[in-house]
Amino acid sequence: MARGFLFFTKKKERLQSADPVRSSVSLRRKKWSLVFFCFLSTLILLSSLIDLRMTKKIRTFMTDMTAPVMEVVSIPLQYVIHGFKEIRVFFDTYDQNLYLQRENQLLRSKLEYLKSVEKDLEKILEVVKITPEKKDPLILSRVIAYPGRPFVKSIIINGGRAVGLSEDRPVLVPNGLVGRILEVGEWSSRVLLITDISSRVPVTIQGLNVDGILEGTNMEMVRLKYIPPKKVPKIGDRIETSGRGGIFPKGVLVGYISEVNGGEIWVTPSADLESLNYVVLGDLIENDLKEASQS
Amino acid sequence: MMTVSLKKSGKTLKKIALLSPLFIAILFDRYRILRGAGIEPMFFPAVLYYFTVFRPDILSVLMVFSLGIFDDALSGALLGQNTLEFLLMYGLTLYQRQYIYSSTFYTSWITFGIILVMVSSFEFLLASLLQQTLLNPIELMGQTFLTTILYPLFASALNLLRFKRVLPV
Repeated sequence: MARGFLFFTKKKERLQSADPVRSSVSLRRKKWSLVFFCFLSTLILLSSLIDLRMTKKIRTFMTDMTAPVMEVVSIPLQYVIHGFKEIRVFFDTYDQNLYLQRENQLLRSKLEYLKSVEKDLEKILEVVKITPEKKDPLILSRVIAYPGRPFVKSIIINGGRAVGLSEDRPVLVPNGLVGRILEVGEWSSRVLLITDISSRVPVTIQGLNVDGILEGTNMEMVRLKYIPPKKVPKIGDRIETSGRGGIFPKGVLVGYISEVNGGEIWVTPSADLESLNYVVLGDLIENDLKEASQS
Repeated sequence: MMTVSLKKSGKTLKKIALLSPLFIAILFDRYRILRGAGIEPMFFPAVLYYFTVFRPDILSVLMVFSLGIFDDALSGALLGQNTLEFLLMYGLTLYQRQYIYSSTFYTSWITFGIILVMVSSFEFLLASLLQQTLLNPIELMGQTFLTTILYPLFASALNLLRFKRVLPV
């Protein structure tokens, strides 16, 4: 038992037990190889700063190689996480039922209204003869890893070039924008979340009709920048993509204003980025409307 | 001839089995199995520290470098970024190895905390330098603190694996 928990033995006993690798290992022996590999790492770091293509190639290759392992590992883990959630949901069932009934009524009335709007829009398009924008088909993908460190916010999804994914494609969930595809492998892709510090999303504040840029901060909330000082948004205002830049489609919900502090405006993403299981790649709003009107 | 090659492959398999906790720790960190808990501990630094103290004979500098590149590729960081941090942790631990090995558990726990704080500070500075902005260190500080607190758990689990001969010692 004492041997089993060597850590909890007294110093004297520890000194008595011989170090089996003492003679073979010393820092002096490893010093030069340590210096060499530190130098090599610095070189690799600098070269990947200069040429990102090489880094991307190596990274997508390694992600592709480890994706099947992660996919297998992720399935039981997701069941465990889901199980905990189910327990929590069980206690809130009554309240949730009431809330969902009310939401369902609201959505039905909205759907009826949208159906009539779509018919009007079709008539207008016939008169004006504008060719509608070509939309990408919807692709559903499973999140297989959350590989972020504190300073990198990204996820890995199953599906890559083999299913027709490409770089910069927007990634969504039904309740909002998640991010965009940063790197595409053959069978897996890396998605840069909107909360990552290098993420920039052109957005508009609904109601105010003001465009701005949503900047990731590596925290739960994101910062809204370049808003004219005269146009101050209110807490709870809806933030949508503006469609500028051509990466994100127009009108996708991103989040709601949660804090206006002097010149700083903070937005809480509407999508729960910490518990993503499945994501959708494509223009969700257009496809949803089409499916809804067909049904 | 056949026996020699079988012995060689057996040795390689043994080495892989011995180093499997390091790979598993990287996968745990990268998959973030404890996500949703608010702050998550870092598995890999604890396992790396343990292996550097108790089995430096099987954990070569090349192995640490390879694990670092593997972690960089999975985490989405620039290649070499995490590798430098792992090498720093390995070097610092190896420098203090004789002292840690011959002292009590509490001393090795405190040393782990000190080394982890140093490596986390380096990680913060390097990331801030690469992003050219001062990043928010709160999440990293929380992770460092939690990992240090939970170190006895990691160490006990690895000790059990070692002495119950789950891993070939």
